[in-house]
Amino acid sequence: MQGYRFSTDRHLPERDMLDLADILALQIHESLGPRVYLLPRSDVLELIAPYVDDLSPDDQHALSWVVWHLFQSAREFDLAAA
Amino acid sequence: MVSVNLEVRDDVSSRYLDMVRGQRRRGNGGWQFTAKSLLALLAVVAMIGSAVYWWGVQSQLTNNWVVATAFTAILVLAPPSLTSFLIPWSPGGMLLQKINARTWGYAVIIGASLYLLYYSFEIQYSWWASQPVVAGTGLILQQVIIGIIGFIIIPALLWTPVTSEELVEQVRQAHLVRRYELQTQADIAILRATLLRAQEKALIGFANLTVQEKEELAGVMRGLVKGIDHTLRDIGESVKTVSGATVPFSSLDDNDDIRSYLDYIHESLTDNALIPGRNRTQERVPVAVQSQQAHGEAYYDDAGRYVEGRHRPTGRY
Repeated sequence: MQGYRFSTDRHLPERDMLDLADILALQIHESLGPRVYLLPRSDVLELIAPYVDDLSPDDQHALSWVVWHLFQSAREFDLAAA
Repeated sequence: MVSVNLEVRDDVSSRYLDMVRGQRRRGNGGWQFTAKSLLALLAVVAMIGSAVYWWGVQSQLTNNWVVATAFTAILVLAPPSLTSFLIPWSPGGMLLQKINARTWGYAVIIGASLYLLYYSFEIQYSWWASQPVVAGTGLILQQVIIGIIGFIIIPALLWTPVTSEELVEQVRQAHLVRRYELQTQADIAILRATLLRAQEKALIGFANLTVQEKEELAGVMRGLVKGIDHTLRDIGESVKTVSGATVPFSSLDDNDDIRSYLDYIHESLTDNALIPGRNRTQERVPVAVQSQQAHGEAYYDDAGRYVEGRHRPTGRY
């Protein structure tokens, strides 16, 4: 993925990383619904893999964590509001 | 490797989290029509019907519309509200019922609600009996039961006797009172054990104590009881401060059992021939006298005369 910001190495800039994670979380949530809250991090990595296969393995790994963390935050909102 | 601080994520605006929040808000804003909602609707309709019905009956019984209105209000509102205490419909309500079951107020609620149910039954029975079609078809009892369910049972099921906050407060008070009772029982048990132990010592070993020591020991025993009384009063005060519930405090010193223990110990320790004018426990005297003689201390001789600081002229020396 090519971001708007430039990195001095082959890694994605942090801001782009967060934006990408946001979009991925939205996409996965739309297709799976609230079940995403129960996904383990390895499954998240598998689900996002087709969209991030051009990134470095480290970035892919980091993205899976960020997306998983977003799901957990969303789950907390859900539980708090219930 | 890119290190993404996960904690930062919450501070950064996330369209995904905004979307989830939005969904929750929409979800909460929606209204689900449940069986309970339907019952609530039915209860409102039934109570309006109940008001019309009871107004019809009461206005026939008296021309004074104020009295008729008051009686209508009583018969519409009182039976469901009182019955709601008897038929809890939540775990909290069950607990509250269990706590209140042993109070006088609960007995009054049972009596009043039973009488109101009986009154409602009787009036409705007479009313339906006077309806030619119902009387002709023999459906009086069925109609009355339907009326009681609609006018009283359904509203009673929907009304909770107290709010959740009051429920929590009542449970807390019950818990505090129970703890106070247990602590009091434990204190009394400890005290009883202590006093029994002291009693044993008084019979066996205290005979070797000096008069002053025995008096002092008796004072300590009384002080011990007063100290426990003070502790219990403090606990009672703290219960009152925390919960507002006044717990009746009965002083240990007023307890006949405890008082008899104390008196016994006091007598055991102090009532002996060493004190002039008392000679009921002469069998313990020689032990004390020998003990004092051995140390060359002052003592009372067998005739009760005071002998100062010298050895007694006996064959032992």
